[in-house]
Amino acid sequence: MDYYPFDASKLAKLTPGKSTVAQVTEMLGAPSNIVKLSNGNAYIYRRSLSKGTGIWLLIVSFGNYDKHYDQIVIFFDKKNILTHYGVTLDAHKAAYGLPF
Amino acid sequence: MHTRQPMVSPFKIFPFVMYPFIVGSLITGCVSYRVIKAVEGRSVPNIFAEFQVGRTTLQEALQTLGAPDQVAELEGKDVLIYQQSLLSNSGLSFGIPLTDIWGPGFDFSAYGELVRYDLVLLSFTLDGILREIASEKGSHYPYLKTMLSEMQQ
Repeated sequence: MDYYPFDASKLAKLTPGKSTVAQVTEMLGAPSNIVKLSNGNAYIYRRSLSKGTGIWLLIVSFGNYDKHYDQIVIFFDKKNILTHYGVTLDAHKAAYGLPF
Repeated sequence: MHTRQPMVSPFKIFPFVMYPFIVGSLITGCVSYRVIKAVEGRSVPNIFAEFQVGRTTLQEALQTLGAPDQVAELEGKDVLIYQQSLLSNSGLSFGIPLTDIWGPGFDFSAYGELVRYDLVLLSFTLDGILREIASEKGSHYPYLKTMLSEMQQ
């Protein structure tokens, strides 16, 4: 699957105390996972980018694999109102390289 | 009238190329060593200096650390987990490839794989106040020493 980053302009519209589940799913689409919490739910949006490198030098071979994520975790209360959210946009940090 | 030139061996023309090529080909068929490293996720920060149990809020944790890698409910508490996994794999193989000319050959290989985790677990009350911090710095354990520890015992 092709990697495509989250739209930063949409993230700015997330408003604690106001945004609802319906508004968030309309903006960001279906979440990757939903976790039931003690006083609501957490909607998890996740995308990843992996880069692998391989080098063969006669008898020695080296491999390197780097995987990073873009993640948004949005917490909703029992009334489906957004209470908190956290954003990590690290997928672009995935890099080719050597294993040492 | 053409006089036929005797064929000159490539070993005489390119000795610095041919001999290493032959030796390299033989060695490649006999011995190989591989090293693989895989990193998944971002590095886990040391938050003990910044975060205080009973004071730090869920909002502050999310602002400082970003989205957690895992979220769970545990006995009425909301738990956030931040983690990075580091896989190290190495293997050594030694064998004589005689299958084509003789039939049976022999081969010896040894490999090891170690996955280490750096983890931070934050547990929050229903009010969103930090109640517990736990962390593990698995990447501090040296790969080779861990892999060879059984041989040292």
